[in-house]
Amino acid sequence: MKVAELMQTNLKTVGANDTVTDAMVTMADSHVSGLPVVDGGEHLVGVISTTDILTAMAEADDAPARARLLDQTMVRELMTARSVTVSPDADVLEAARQMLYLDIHRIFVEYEGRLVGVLSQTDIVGAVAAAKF
Amino acid sequence: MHVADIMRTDLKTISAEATVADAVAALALARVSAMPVLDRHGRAVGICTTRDVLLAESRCENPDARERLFETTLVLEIMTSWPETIAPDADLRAAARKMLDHGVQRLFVSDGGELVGVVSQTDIVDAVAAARI
Repeated sequence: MKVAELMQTNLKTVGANDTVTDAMVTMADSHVSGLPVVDGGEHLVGVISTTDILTAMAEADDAPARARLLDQTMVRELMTARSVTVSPDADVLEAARQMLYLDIHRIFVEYEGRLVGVLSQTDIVGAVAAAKF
Repeated sequence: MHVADIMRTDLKTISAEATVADAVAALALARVSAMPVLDRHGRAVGICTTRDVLLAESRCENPDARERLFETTLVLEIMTSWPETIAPDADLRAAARKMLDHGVQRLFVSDGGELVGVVSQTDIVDAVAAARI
């Protein structure tokens, strides 16, 4: 099975210069645990996840540090830069192995330098549930 | 393949009376996105997820509210009520379907009322990648 057959194409994104609070609100509203980070030209520059935010929060010791983190820190400071991507023609099993190896829940799909979709562990679980494997 | 074949049994838990700050530290340290919440008698009464924390955080309107959330709010107040569980002898496809139906990343495994493990979407992806499904 190809990545293109399982990937989702309606992507929510966050800007590299948005605040951590902006990212948190978008994740909460769209019920996702990670967002692709794009620059002004809508090119993928990284990924930010609830784990990235929670880890930074655990390291902020007091109220001013937390306020700085949430209201003044930009997404690009916390994100994982240049995330690994996969081609829509790649095999789903290969994408699954990549996710496990990199310890990530989703892998973005790029075609000719453009972000065209995302394949998540949930999409693979969906295929198992539908007995597609 | 059955849930018992791939579930994890080394569960990290948190007390219902711990603070949100304790939960953030515990989730970050254990590198998990959810923990069962136990009452003072050791009974599972809910789960505390990174999503619960970030959702509560995104609803705080100012630094004071955020500080109250961290230092005085108890896990009991922000946790998700005790979720659907699955039996260790359930089929993996049934587990996959249940995860999707309930929109959860993991299912706790209960054997006659006793909490015996957890199976996550990642565990299922792992089985797919290893071509065990």
